[in-house]
Amino acid sequence: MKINVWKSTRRAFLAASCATLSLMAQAQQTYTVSVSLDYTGPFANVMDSWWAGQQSVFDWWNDTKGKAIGVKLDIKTHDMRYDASVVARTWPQILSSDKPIVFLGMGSPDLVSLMKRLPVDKVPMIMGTAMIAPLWTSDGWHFSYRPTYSHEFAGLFAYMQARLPEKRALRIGTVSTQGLAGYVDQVNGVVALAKAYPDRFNVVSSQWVDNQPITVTSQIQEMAKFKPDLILVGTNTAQVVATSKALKELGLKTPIVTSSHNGLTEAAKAIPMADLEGSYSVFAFAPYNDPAVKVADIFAKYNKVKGGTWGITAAQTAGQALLAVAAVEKAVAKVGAGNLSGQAIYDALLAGPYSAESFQGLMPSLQLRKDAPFPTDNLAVKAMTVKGGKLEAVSADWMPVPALAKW
Amino acid sequence: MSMLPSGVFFQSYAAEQGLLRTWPQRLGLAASLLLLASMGWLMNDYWLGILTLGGITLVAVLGLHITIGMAGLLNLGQSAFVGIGAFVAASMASNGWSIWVTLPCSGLAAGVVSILFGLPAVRIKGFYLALTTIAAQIIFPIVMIRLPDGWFGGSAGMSVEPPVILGWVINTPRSYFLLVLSVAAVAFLAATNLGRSRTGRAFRAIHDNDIASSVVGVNLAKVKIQAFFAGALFAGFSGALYAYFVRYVSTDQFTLWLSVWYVGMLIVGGMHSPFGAMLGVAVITLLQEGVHLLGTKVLSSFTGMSGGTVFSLTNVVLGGVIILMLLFEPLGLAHRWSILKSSYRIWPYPRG
Amino acid sequence: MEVLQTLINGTLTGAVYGVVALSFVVIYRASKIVNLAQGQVIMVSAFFVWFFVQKMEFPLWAGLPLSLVASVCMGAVIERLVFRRLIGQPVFSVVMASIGLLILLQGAVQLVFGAQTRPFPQVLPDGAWKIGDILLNKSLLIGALLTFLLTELLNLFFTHTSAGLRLAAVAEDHVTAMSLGISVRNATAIAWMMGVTLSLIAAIILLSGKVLGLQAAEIGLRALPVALLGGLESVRGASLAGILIGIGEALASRYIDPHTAGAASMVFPYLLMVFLLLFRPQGFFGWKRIERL
Repeated sequence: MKINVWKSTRRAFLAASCATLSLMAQAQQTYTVSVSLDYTGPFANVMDSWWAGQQSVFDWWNDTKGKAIGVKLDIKTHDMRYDASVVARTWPQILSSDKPIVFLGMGSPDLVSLMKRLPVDKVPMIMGTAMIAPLWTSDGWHFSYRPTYSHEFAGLFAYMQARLPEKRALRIGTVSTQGLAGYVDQVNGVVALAKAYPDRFNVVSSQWVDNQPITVTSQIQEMAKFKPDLILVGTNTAQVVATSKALKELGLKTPIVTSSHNGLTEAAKAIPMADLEGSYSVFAFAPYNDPAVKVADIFAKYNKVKGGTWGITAAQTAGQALLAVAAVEKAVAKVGAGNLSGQAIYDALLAGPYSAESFQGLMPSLQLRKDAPFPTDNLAVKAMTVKGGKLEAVSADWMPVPALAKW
Repeated sequence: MSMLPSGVFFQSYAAEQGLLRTWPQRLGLAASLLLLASMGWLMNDYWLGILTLGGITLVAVLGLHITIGMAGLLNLGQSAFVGIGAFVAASMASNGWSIWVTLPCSGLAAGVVSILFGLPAVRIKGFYLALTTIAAQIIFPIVMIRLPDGWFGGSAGMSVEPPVILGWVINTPRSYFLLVLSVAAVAFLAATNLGRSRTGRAFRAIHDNDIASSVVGVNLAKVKIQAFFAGALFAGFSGALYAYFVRYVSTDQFTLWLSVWYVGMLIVGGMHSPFGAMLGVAVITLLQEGVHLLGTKVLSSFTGMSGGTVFSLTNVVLGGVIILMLLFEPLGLAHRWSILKSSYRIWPYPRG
Repeated sequence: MEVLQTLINGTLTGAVYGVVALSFVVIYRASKIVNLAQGQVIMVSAFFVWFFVQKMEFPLWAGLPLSLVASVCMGAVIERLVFRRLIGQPVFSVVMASIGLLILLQGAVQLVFGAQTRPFPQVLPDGAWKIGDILLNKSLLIGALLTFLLTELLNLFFTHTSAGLRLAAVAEDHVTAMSLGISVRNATAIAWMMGVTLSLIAAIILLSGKVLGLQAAEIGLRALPVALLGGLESVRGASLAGILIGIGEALASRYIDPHTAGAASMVFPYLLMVFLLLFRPQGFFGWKRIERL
C-alpha cells in the first residue's frame, strides 16, 4: 500500500513536472523589430497614422498568430528625423542594443544610409514606399512590397488602355520636376514602358514644372496640343492641385493619375472633390475603404495611437508590417521559434511566394527575388477614382502590371 | 592673454610665441586629448555617434569662424562647400583613391569653388555678400544634380565605402570617432594658429575696417579670397569625413537650413575664437539631443501628444537661443567663459 | 502667340515675386532692418488667414481684417522683442537676428499649427479670363494690379510725405537719424507694421485657393534676389525687378530649360543678381552709398 501511494505520487509529480516543462518550452520567445520614424522632417504630419498602421498590425499579430507559434515581437521605434546622418550614427546602437531581426524603414535616408551596411550586419529591411530605379540593385537586404512608382502607374495604364473605345495606344502626358531623383525617375520609367510597348502606350508630352508651382497653366496648355488621355502627376499635392486648376482654366476634363502620397484625398483638401471627377490614384496595395481589406478591422481593434486614423498612410505601413510578420511566420516554420535571426528572416523573405490571404486582403500575392528589392513579376495594383463626387475603387480585382525591365 | 606664473621665462622668441608655454598647460592639453580619445572606449555607441557627428560639424563651423568671425565676411553657404567636399571625396573614393588623398583633395576642391563665389566678395559687402553666398547654396544642388552621372552620381547621389588607414578599415563607431577626433584636433590647432599668423591679422584688419586696412597696405581682394578659401577648405574636410561616416552623399543632405544652423552655432558659441566654435557646436548639439530625449519621454508617457508638435520645439528653442544670445551676449558663450575665468583669477576683486 | 503667352505668364508670376520683395523692401526702406525671415513672416500671415477664415469659419469680410490685426500684432511683438534692441547695431547683428527669427518662426508654426497641409481659402477668384487665344489667370492678374497700386502708393508715401522722408533718414543711418531727432523706434514699429501688412497681401495672392503647408516659406528665398536686383531701398525697383525676373524665368523655362534639364530657370534669378551686383552693387534703383574711412 505504502509503495503504491509512493508510486502514484511519484507519477503525479513526474506528470506535473513534464507539463510545466512543456509549458515553459511553449512560452514565448521575444524578438525585437526596430522601426524608423520621423517626427521632425517632411513626414512629421502623417507620423501618427504611419506608426498606428504598423503598431496595430504588430499588436494584433502578437495577440493572435504570435501566441500560437510562441513568438512575441517587441517593437522599438527610433526618430530618424528623415536624415541620413542620424540613421548612420544611430545604426550601431540599434544593432548592439536592439539586436533586431528585421528593420522597418521609412524612406530614402534609411535606404541610402543602410543599403550597403545591411548585408554586412545581416539585418533585412522592409520598406513601405514605392521604389525608384536608382535603388533597383540586386543582392541587397532591403525590400519593399511595392515595386517602383512607374510599375504601379503601368498597371493602371494597362487597364485604361484596354478600355479605350478605339484600338490605339494610350496617350500619356507627364508633369514632374527636374532635379529630384524620384520625380525624374517616375517619368523615365513611364517612357521606358512606352518604348517596351509602343502599340499600347505613348508618352505624348513631358512637362517640367517647379516643385511648388505658382501656376502650371502654360505647361498644361502646351500639353493639351497633343490631346493626352490622362495626365500623370505622381510628385506632390501642390502639383496635382495646380494641374487641376490649370485644366479648369482651360476648360479641359483630362483625368489626372496620382500616386499614394499625393493622392485624391490629399488634393481634395484644397480643391473640391468634384474638380477631381474621373481622376485616379494608383498603388500596389488595396484602397483603404475597400470592403475586402480586413486590416481595417484589425486597425480599429488594436490602434492605440491618438491621432492615428485609418487611411492611405496607415494602410501603406500596415502592409509593411504584414510582410514583416508573414516573413517571421515563414522563418519560424523553417528554423523554429528559438532560432530566429536576421539571416532567417532574410531567407524567409526570399522563400516565396506569399499568398494574398496572408496579407488580409491588403496586398496581392508577391514573390521576392534576389535580382530586385521588390517583386518583379506577377505584379498587381489597385486604384481609386472619383465617381459622382465620391471616392471609390476602380475595380474589385487586382490590375496586372505589364512586365518592365530595368531602365 | 593669460598671465604666466612667476619663474617662467623664455630664451628664444619662438619659445615665447608658442601656444603652450608652461608644463601645466602641456599637461592639461595632453590630459584632455587623452580623455577625449578614451571616450571611444567609455561611451556607448549612440553617444559616440553624436560625438562623431559633432566633430564633423565642428570642422565646418571652424571654417565658418575663419570667414565670419575673423574676416567678417558673412557666409551663408557653408553647407554647400561641405557638400562639394563630400561629393568630391565620394567620387574619388569610388575610383579607388585612399582617404589620404581624398581628404586634402576635397578641401582643395571646396576651396577652389569658394574662390568663384569669393570673387564677388571683393566688390560686394555685408548683406549683399550674404545673399551671394545664399545664391551659391541654392545653385549648388541644381548644378550638382545635372553633372554627368559618372562624376557625382546624378540626382540619386552616390555611396561610399569605409576608409582604410594603414591597413585598418574604419567602420566601427570607435574607429570613426578616433578618425574624426584627430582631424578635428588638427583643424582646431590650424584655426588657432591662423588667428595668430600674419594672414589672420589681415583677416581681422579687414573685419574692423576694410577701407582703412587697404590704406595700410592689406591687399583687400587677395585677403578676402583667402578668407573664403580657408573657410571652404575646412568645409571640404568636414564634407569628406561626413561622406565616409554616413556612407552616402546626396544633395539633399546639404541644405540652406544646415548652413543657417552652422551660423547659429557660431553665434551661440562666439564667433571670434575657435573655442567659441567648439562651445557653439557642443551646446547646440546637446540642446538638440536633450529636446529629442525629453520629447521621446513625453511622448511615451503622454500618448496624447502628437510627435511633430513635441519635436518642432528644437527649432523654437534654437531660434530663441540665437536671438537671446544676440540681444544679451553678442560675443557668445566664449565671452561669458572668458569673463568667468578672469573674474575667478582676480577674485575677490571686482572685475572691470 | 506662344511668346506673348509666356511673357504674360512671366509678368503675372513676376508680380507675385514683386509683392513679396515689396514686403521685404518696405521694412528695409523704413528702418534699415534686413529681414531674411520674410518668407516665414508670410507663412505666419497665411496661417492666420487659414485660422480665421477656414478653421473658425468667419466670413471673408471678418476673417481678413482679423488676420490683419493678428499679423500686425505679431509684427509688433517681433519688432519690440528682437529688433528694437538692435537699433544702431551693425547690419551683421541684424542679419543674424533675422536668421534666428527664421528658425524660431519655422518651429513655432509647426508647434502651433502642425505640419500637415491644409487648404487655403479662395480669397481671390479662381479660373482665368480668355482674351482671344491668351489666358489671364484671374487671381494673379488681380494680384498684379494690387501690386502696382501698392507700389505707387508706397512710393508716394516714401518720397512725397514728411513721414516717409523721415523714414528714409532712418534707412540711411540709425545714429544720424537719432541725432536729427527722428524717432528710430517709431520708424521700426511702422516699418514692421507695413511690412507685415504687405506680407499678408502677398500670402493671399500667392496661396489663394491652393494648399498651405510649412513649405510656403520658400517663397521668401525666391524673392530675395528680386529685392536685391531692384535695390534694397527702392519700392518701385522691387516690383520692376519682380516682373523682370518673372519674365526671364518664364522665357528660360520655355526655351532654355529643355537643354539644361530645368536648371536655367532655377538659377536665372541668382545669376542675374550676382552679375548685377558685380557691376552695380546697389541694384537697379537702390541708393548708392559712399563709404568713408
